[in-house]
Amino acid sequence: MSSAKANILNRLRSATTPSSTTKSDTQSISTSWKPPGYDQPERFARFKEALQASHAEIIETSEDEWPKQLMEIAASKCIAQWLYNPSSESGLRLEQQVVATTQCNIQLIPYDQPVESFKTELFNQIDASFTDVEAGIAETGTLVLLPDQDEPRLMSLVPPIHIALFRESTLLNSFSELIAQQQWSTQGMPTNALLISGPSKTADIQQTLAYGAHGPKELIVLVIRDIQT
Amino acid sequence: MNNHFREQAIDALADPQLRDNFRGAMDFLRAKRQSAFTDTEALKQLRALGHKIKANTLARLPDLLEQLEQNCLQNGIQVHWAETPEQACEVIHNIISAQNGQLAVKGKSMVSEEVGLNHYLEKRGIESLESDMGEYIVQLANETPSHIIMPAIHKSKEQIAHLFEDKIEGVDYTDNVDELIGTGRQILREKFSQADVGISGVNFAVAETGTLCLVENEGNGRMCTTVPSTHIAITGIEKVVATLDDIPPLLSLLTRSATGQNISTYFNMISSPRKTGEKDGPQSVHLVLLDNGRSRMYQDENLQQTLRCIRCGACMNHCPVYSRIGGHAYGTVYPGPIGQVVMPQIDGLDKQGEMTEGCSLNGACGEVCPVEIPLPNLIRKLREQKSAKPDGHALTPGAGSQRKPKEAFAWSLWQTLYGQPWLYRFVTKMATRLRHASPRAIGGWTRYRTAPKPAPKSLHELMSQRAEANQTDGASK
Repeated sequence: MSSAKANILNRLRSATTPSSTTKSDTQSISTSWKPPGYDQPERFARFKEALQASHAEIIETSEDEWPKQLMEIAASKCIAQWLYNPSSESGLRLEQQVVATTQCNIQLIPYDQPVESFKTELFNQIDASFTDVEAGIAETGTLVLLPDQDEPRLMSLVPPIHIALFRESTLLNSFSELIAQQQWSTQGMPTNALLISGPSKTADIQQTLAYGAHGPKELIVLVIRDIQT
Repeated sequence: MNNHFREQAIDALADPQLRDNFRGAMDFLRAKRQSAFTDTEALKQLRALGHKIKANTLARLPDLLEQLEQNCLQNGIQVHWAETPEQACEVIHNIISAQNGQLAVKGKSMVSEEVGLNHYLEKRGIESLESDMGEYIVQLANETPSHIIMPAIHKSKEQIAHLFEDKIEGVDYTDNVDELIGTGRQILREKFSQADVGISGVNFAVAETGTLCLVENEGNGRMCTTVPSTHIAITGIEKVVATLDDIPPLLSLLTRSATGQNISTYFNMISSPRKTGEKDGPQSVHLVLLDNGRSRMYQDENLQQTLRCIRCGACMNHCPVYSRIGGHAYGTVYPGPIGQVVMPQIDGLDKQGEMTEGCSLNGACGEVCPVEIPLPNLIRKLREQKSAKPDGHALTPGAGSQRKPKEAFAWSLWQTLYGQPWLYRFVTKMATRLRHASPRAIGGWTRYRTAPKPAPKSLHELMSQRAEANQTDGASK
């Protein structure tokens, strides 16, 4: 045990009175706080409103239509170099759509090598990225991403435009519900878990909001309305 | 060196631009917070929960720290303990120099400011670059943050425009905020991709899973903790929480209290370095746990409450003194009410005792604190300690150091007077009868105000006269 650790812990452990005071103190605090719960269709309405308030663009679509809509976005924003995940189902559909859409000059680029050899391309050439989303949180208008070897962490950060594919059926009420659903407390956590609520922003200069501080300037969410209402 | 809070506050008050900048910023942040907490009953319940979670955490602090260490190690995160700023800097420097690191990029971390990390690394030839836009501006200006959430809050966009024009090659004057941020983005992106090491703070460290949580809007925190091959996180030991379930309410309190956001753009949970097959993320992750006086604060059952702080900055946003003098006047890493409580306990009352006087005890800070820290009580406690008769019991270093003989004598006189009714009556009678002889100039008080004059009759006299009058009234009926 390092001596710093031993010294710190000893000092903390020697303070017996405060701890017992604190314990009795907390027993007397009662609170009825509960994370919010929403019913359909309020849940989706809340999600949409909150996410739009954070400056994300939401496009409601269907399982059949989304690849076509993605191409429309690509055309309107002149996306040429596109980072994607070729091993996901949505990545494959994107590939097929690009092939089918002849007028678009899109180059699909997989993130298939360590960042060390990919930095120049990633930081200077890529126009947009396309990722799946693990879940959504209605309360705060939040996308949950669990980056892994096929969809690395920087996919949702470095490209100026991030387009995310979200299924309404994965929408949860609250962050608390997400923690329970993922069973992180018992199963352990993934390398990295991200809650994303809008494009990167800052208000550090005279409280003036500016988007694209360091991460994406635009966050576009394709929502597949796969819940029948 | 003693801090010159008083002189600095006077200087700040004489700077109209600075006062304008702070007034605007504080009004903005207060309105934002208010709009995020529209349901006062829900806020009350949430604050009570925040208080409870943090108090429970403190009650088990040593055990939770050990659990955190164990789970971090299991996840592949290396854990270091530091008792002092010097130790923390040394640990970080050793990690960087072991891999021949030249450039470190930093996400916003007040603890790294607390230990003076930039200065330490730069003296040893390692560039340590701030990447939060506000911190980047402040570093460019050779200043320190004036607010713990919005570091460059003391500057107007015009001042920042001039700064960029002067300090960054090839940049012309523009006060267009998007263009200014664009400039910062471009420069810092280059640095993110070159840096050997990324340094960050921690908002919550979860003991049960060994997870480091970071709250931010810009994405620079994610850059710092993902692009460089090494990530070093530094945090105070009070940032540990027991379980993941503790996080949602605390996060909600933090972002809403700080900037009025229901959630920040990014909430980043890091539980391990890059695993086999993964394409990015640091190869090694280090966590530095800093004490720097915290275990001493822990000894005192009142002052221990300081450690509940989640660093949202709401107390300074609502402080009438901070809003007028700004963060730099305090001359400390943490300004405002929380600074007035933390800094004297870290640096000692002999050095930072004076700043506790910059408080009108109006109570606003305590009312907005998301974890119900009784800040006004703690400030009063520290004021008491700084002027106390040294008896060897006070835990805060420098206790009794600011005891002034004249002041102590005046109070003991007052005590005697108050303790003897006949003496008290005699003295008030003399004061009221000789009211015209009361002094016209009483030091600082009369510099901006007229001197108060005792009333012709004391309240005591007035009340007994009224009682007599009532009696005669009653008797005549």
